Amino acid sequence: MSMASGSSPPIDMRPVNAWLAAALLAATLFGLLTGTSVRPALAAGDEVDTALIVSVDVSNSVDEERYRLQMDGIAKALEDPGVQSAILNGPRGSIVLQMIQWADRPLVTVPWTRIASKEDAMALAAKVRRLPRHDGEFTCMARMMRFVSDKVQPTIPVKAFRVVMDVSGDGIDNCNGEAPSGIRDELVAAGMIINGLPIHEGDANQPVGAGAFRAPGEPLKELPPPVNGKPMTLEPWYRENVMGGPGAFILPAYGYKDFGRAIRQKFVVEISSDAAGERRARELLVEIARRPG
Amino acid sequence: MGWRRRAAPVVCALLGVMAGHSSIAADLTARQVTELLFHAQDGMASDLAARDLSTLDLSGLDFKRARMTGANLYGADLTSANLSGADLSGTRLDRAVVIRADFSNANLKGASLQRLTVFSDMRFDRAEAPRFRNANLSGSRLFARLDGADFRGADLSFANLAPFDLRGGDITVLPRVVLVKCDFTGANLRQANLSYAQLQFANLGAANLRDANFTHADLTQANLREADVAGADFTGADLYGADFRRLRGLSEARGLAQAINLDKALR
Repeated sequence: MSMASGSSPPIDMRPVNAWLAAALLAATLFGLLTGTSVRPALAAGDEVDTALIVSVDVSNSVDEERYRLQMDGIAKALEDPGVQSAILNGPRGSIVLQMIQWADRPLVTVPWTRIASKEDAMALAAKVRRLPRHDGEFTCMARMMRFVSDKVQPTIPVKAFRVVMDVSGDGIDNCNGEAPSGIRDELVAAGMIINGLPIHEGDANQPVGAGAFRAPGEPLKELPPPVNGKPMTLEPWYRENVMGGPGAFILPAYGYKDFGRAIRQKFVVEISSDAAGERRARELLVEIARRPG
Repeated sequence: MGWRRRAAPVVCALLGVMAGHSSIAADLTARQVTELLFHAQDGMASDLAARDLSTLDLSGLDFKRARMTGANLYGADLTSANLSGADLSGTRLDRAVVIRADFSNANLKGASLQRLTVFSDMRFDRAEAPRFRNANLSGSRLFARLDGADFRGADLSFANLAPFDLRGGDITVLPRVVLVKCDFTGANLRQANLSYAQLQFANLGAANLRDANFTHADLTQANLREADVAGADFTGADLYGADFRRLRGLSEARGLAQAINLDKALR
C-alpha cells in the first residue's frame, strides 16, 4: 500500500517479497555503480522505538523564507548529535519518521523512513532540505489530523513502541469541517501522542481567530472562548485542541527563526525513551518553562 | 413516565430513519480501505468489488491492481490516487474528484464517469488532469471537463461521450464533454459517440476513429493525422485548422459535405 499524494510517486510500504528483493538488489548494484545509495525497505518484523510523524503547516502565512526556515530547522535537528544520540541510544536504536506538509490538503512529503544510524539521519536531513513546498492557502489542521487517522496511522510499516505526532504551525484551524479536538481524541484513543509546536510570529499574546480567513462559502466561526477572562492565544489553543496523549507537551517557537531551536528540543524529548533521555528531556522542559514570554 | 411512553415511538422512528441513512452510507471507512490495501498480500490484488465507497476521501491511496468491479465510487475523492491497472469495470465514478488520479492501464469497461471534478479551480492545469493511458474505457459513459487528459493508447470503443439529452434542448447552452488538448494518440475510438464534444487542439493522431460519431463536434485545430476515419460521421463538425493529412479511410467518412470549415482543414 502506498500514498500517492500530489505529484509524488506512490511509495510501497509492504514487506519485501522476492521480486522486490531482486529489484532492490539491482537498484543497490545500480547505486553502487552510480554513487547513489539505496536502503533496504522496511520489513514488517522490524521494531523501532518511535514512529514519528512530523506535520508542518505550509498555509498562506508561510512564505518561502518561513518554509525554508522550517525545513532547515528540521534538517539541522536531524543532524544534531543530541537528537541522533536520542535515536541511537533507545532500546531498539532506531525510529521511523514520516513528514506531512499541510495547508488546504495534507501531503506526505517524506514517506516512512527508518533512522538507525548517523548516516541515515544525515541522508534524511539532506532530503528534507531539498523538499519542494506543497502550496495551499488555509490552515486545515482537522483535515490533516483526519488524514493521519485514516491513512498514516494504519500504515506504520513496523512495530513502533510509541507513535508520536509533531504538529507545528502559526495559526489555528480556519477550515470548515470537523473540530481538531475531536479527531485529536480519536488519535489519542488509538495510542498516539500529539505534541504541539505553535509558532508565535509577533506578539505571543495576540488573540487568535479574529480576522482569520474562512473557507469559501463558510460563515465566520465564533472566536475561541476566552481563557481566564482573556482572549484565546495560540499556545493555549494548541493545548486545548492539538496536544494529547500520555506525556504530551507544547513547546512554542518565538518566531520562525526560533523554529530550529524548538524542533531540535522537541525531537530530543519525543524520541528519548530511556531513563537518561527522559531526565534530559525533563531538564529541557524546565529550561523551556523558564524562558520569558 | 407518560411522556416517555408517548415519546418512545417517535424515538424509534427517528432511530429507524437514522438506520436507513446508515444503510445508504459507504460500506467501509477510509481508514478501513487504507488498512485493506496496506495489508493486502504481496502480489495479491485487494478485493473491493461491489463495495459502496461513495463520498469517501480516498485521496492519495494506492489501488494499484485492486479488484473493484462494480464498486460505487460516487462522489469519492480520488485526488492523486493510483488506480493504475485496477479493475474498475462497471464502476460508478460519477461526481468523483479525480485531480491527478492515475487510471493508466485500468479496466474501466462499462464504467460511468459523469460530472467528474478534474481541476482544483477554474484554471486549466495539465498537471492536474487525470491519466487514462492504455486504459480500457470501452462502452463507458464519460461526460466531464477533461482538458489535457492523457488517453494515449486507450480503448474508448463504443464509449458514449455525448450530451445527456438532445430532445428539445437548446443546443447553444447544452453542456458538452470538454476534451480540449486531450491526447488520444493511437487510441481506439471505434464507434465512440463524440457528438458535440469539444475537441479543440486535441491530438487524435493515428487513432482508430472508424464509425465514430463526431456530429457537431468542435475539432478546431485538432490533429487527426494518420487517423482511420472510415465510416466516421462529421456532420456539422467544425474542422477549422484540423490536420487531415495522411488520413486513412477519408473516402468512406460521412457528413463531410455538411461539416463546417472543411475548406480550412489542413489536407
